[in-house]
Formats: sequence, C-alpha cells, structure tokens
Amino acid sequence: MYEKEEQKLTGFKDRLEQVALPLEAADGAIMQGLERAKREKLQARAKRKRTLWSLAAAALIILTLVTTIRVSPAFANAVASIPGMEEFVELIQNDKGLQGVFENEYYQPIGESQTIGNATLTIDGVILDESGMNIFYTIESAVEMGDIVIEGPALENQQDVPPSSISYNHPITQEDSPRRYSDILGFTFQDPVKFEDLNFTLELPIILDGTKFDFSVPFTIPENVKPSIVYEMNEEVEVEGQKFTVKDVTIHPLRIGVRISFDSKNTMKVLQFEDMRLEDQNGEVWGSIMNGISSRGEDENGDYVYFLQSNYFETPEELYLRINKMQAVDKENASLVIDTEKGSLINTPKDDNLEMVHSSRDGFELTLKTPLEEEFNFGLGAGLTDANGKKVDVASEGMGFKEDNIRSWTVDINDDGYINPVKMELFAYPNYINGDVKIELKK
Amino acid sequence: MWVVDDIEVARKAIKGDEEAFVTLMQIHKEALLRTALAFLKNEHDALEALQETTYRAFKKIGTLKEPAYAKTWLIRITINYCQDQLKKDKRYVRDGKSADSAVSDNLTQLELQEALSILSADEQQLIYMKYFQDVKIKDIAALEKIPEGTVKSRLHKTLRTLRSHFEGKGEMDHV
Repeated sequence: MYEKEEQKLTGFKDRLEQVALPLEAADGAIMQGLERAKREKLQARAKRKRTLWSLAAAALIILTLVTTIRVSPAFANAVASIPGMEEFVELIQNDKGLQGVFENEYYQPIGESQTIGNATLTIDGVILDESGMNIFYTIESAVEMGDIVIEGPALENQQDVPPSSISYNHPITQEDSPRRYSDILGFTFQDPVKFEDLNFTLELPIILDGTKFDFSVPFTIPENVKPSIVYEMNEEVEVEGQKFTVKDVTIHPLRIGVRISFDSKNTMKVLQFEDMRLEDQNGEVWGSIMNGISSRGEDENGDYVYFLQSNYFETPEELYLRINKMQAVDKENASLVIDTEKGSLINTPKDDNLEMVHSSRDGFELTLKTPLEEEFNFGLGAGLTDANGKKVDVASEGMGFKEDNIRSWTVDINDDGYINPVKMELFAYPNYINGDVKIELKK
Repeated sequence: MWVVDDIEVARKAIKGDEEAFVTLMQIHKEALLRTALAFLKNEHDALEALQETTYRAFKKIGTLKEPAYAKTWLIRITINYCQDQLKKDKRYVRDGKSADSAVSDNLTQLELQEALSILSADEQQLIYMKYFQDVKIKDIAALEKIPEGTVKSRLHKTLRTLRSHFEGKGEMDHV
C-alpha cells in the first residue's frame, strides 16, 4: 500500500548506514556520561537526609548511616497488624527504639486526610512523647509525581509548640515517579514538653511538580504520652585531658537524651560521640547513637544533648553509659575560615586533611581525607557567617563520597554581598581522642 | 575474544553492575550514534547525544524491566534527547536552506530530517524503530504497551503523511 514510501525510508536507512561513525570518540562520550551520572547519584544520596534546625547552635548529619539490624519477629508482627504500615518498615527498621514503640503498641493510628486538587495528604499515625513527635504521612496523587519539595512543616497546638528540629527524607528521587509517597516527619522539641490538649494541626506546604499545596490537617491523638524516665548523674569524667560532666540521662519512648557540659578549661572542642551507648551488665548494647539528628547544640546553660536510640520499653537490671572515642579538635582550630574569592583556607584543623577544590563567591568545594579505618558519616557543619558576623545565605551544603577515604564537602551560596572571609563552626570532624568511660545509671 | 551474551550483559547492568553497563553501552554505541545522526546534524552533536544517553540510561537502568529490550530502550532515550534538542534549536532541521551554519553535513540526513520534521515526536519514533531499526510491530506494541492493531493504524497514518510530503517534493522537483 505504501511500498514507495517504505522504499524511500529503506533507502534513507541504507545511505545512513554508509556514514562513518566516530567510534573511538564514542567511548569517551560514554565514560563522560557515566561519570556525570555517578557524580549526581552521590550528591543525591548525600542530600537525601535533610534536617532543619531552628536552634542557633544547631548542626546536622546529612548522610544517612546504612546499618542492618535484624528485624525481630515481634516487630514484624506488630507492624503487620497495622494497615498501610508496610511502606514505613524500611524507614523504621534501623532504629531499635522505634521497633520497641511498635512492639508495645505505642504508635497511634490517626487516618486524617485532606485533598487539594488531585493531591491528598494523609496522616497515617503518630508517635508522641515529651521529646518529640514522629508523624507518619502519605501523599497520594492522581498523576505520577515527579518532584516533591517540602517547605517548612509546622505543628500547632493550643499550647506553644517548642522550637523544633525537623527531619525528613528528601522525598522523591528522579528515578521513580510514584503516585504514592510515604515518609516520616520527625519533630524533635528543643525542650521536653507535655501537651494538655491533644488536638494538633499539621501545616505542611509542599510544592508538587511546581504547584504549591498548602496542606493543613487537624488531628487528635487518642492517648497522651508515657512519662519519660530521668536519671540524675552529675558525674565528671576525663578523656585525654578533656573533662566533661554527664548531667543526666532522660529515656523517652522515641529517644534517649544524654545531657553533657564541657569544662571551659578544656584545650579541645569535643564534637561528636560516635560510639556513645547504653550497655547492660553483659555488654549488650541497648541504645546507640541515632541516625539523623544526633545532638542538639548548646543551650542556655552551656549544655549539649546527645541522642541515642531508645530502650524505653525494655530495661535491663543494670545499665551503663559507655564512651570510648570522641571527635575533638583543638579549640583554636574548631572553625573553618575561608576566603571564597581567593580560594584560601585561612583556618582549619592542623592535619592538612582539608583541601580546597574550587571556590568562588557562589560557593566552594573542599575535599576531606578521612582515616581509612573510620566510617565518617557526618556533615562538617551548618551555616556560614561573614567577616562582620552576618549570616551568609547558604543555598545548600552537603557531603558526598569521592573515594573510600575522600569526602567532598560542597557549599552553595546565594551571594547577597557578604564580606570575606566566611566562617563555619565545625560540627563534626574525623580527629579522635580515646578513653574508657563507664558510668552506671542508678534509679 | 569471546562472545558475550547481550541479554546477560543487560541483565547485569539492570542489577547495577557498572562494568556490565559500560559493556552494554559499547555494544550499542553504533546503533545509538546512527540514531543520533538521523536526527541531528553532525558527529559532534551525535557524540553529545551518546553522552547524554549514557547519563540518562545509567540513572534509569533500574526501571528497565526486560533485558531483551535494552537496545530499543536505549534508542528511545537517544531519540527523546534528539527531539528535545531539536525543539530547543529548530534551525537545525526545520529549514535546512536558511540556516546556513547549521546545515546538515550530509544530504541524506538533510532530506531525512526534513521528512521527519513534518511528523509528531511519536510518529518519528515509530518510523525510526520500524524502518531504521527493523523492530517488529509486535515488539513496538509490547514496548509501548498498546495493541498491535493500534501500532499498525498509526503506522499507516504516518506513512500517509509521508506520502503527501514526498509527493509534494516530487512535484516541486518537476517544476
């Protein structure tokens, strides 16, 4: 019927096949495309875990630790009995404390939703304690969702909700475009609080494929919190000449807070406790440092609070707080000072492990050599101030992997006329001091 | 040298094996470059297309369900990229005569691109798959998840459009 047209097309094809191809250059093009995709995947992974802090001295962990913890049959059963929970299993199975919450039916199903246009937000359920609220939610859309941006979630109650740090996963990766997306919004309250009235509203503005949706979902939590357990400690310990006092340990269902104050005469600034944990008399670990938000910055008393996974629902006979190593840097080198125009590192820890890759007023990239035996999974810090102490508008910052022991720290700046040099207080750094701290938690 | 089973390579690449992915790209680089040359004007642009195809394919290889369709899947990525480029820069194809610096290096390409330019994006893909890659109607239907009958009727409609284009050209030639 269309023989002539088909012949014509076949003719094109035959002639096209005569064209010489740049086959050697092709391999180069393939490698370039591959490198570009790999680089982006790493950056995406580094940015996946995002945490918002409202505290001044706040800091964050950007990389998500990937650990495998055996899922107990009790946990599996508990989760299987709640409809819709299967989508959250992946998000909670790495936290022993959350597993305990489910095994003990402390998760409270809600099921309130709001539909705007073709998108629906459902609050599946919450876990509330005095330290924070985890909100399990689902966004559904009639069409495939390509991109969700979550903008400043907020909780409202008759009472003031304390300033909170909020953690959530970066919603959608470019690889998949689902019609259903589930995640957990984790609010960590600055100070423990107990709400009298359990009617809340979640304000969740999102931008879904370029369109803004201002979700506002009221919900009522059926039961109030279980009380947190406080252990008063006030014990001073010393590690490599650096002294600190463990003031108290508070065990909430969602997390354990360990409050510590550092001796002002210390020569080093202690950053992170990577192996802080609670152990029983047999050395079994009951709570290890949390993924995500691992600590809270200095409060008005100069205290820091470090968070561990909770053992609220199961307490052994004896419990000890153990610390063997901590990240610490000399106080005078505890901040990064950078001139973004000259591309120079003016102040850094004195180990020559940080190097400037490139820098301009729009941002910079540093590489960090980490000890081979250490899994350093932290961001270096959060936020910059300029030479006048003014906050610099940071568009994004993130840690990526380059090689096994090389990380890359990238900061993008919206240039609003800041004055060089800029400064960032270190939140974490792979320089360690070692000791053996063991303090009993006495009731 | 040993013969590699293309499907096995694709299967490994889908599972995230980077080496297999590179092999997969190398196996199909000729077909991909030729595809790009059918739509774009020169070698340089074709290499860009290959780079972009590699980039997009690596990011999405996990979504490829059937290893046997790896080649057509890659070609579709290339065509999509080429079509995006053409939209961005219509002077390459729309009117070969007036776009002096952007005239295709090769007359066949020019003629082909002119013919393709009167078709919709989907029709361009269909024609390319059927007549340049010899993909069977059955496989096109499976790939697009539509009935074979639909593929056939679309093909007829497209050929009809091409007929009037070629005939128009023919008359022009006689004038």
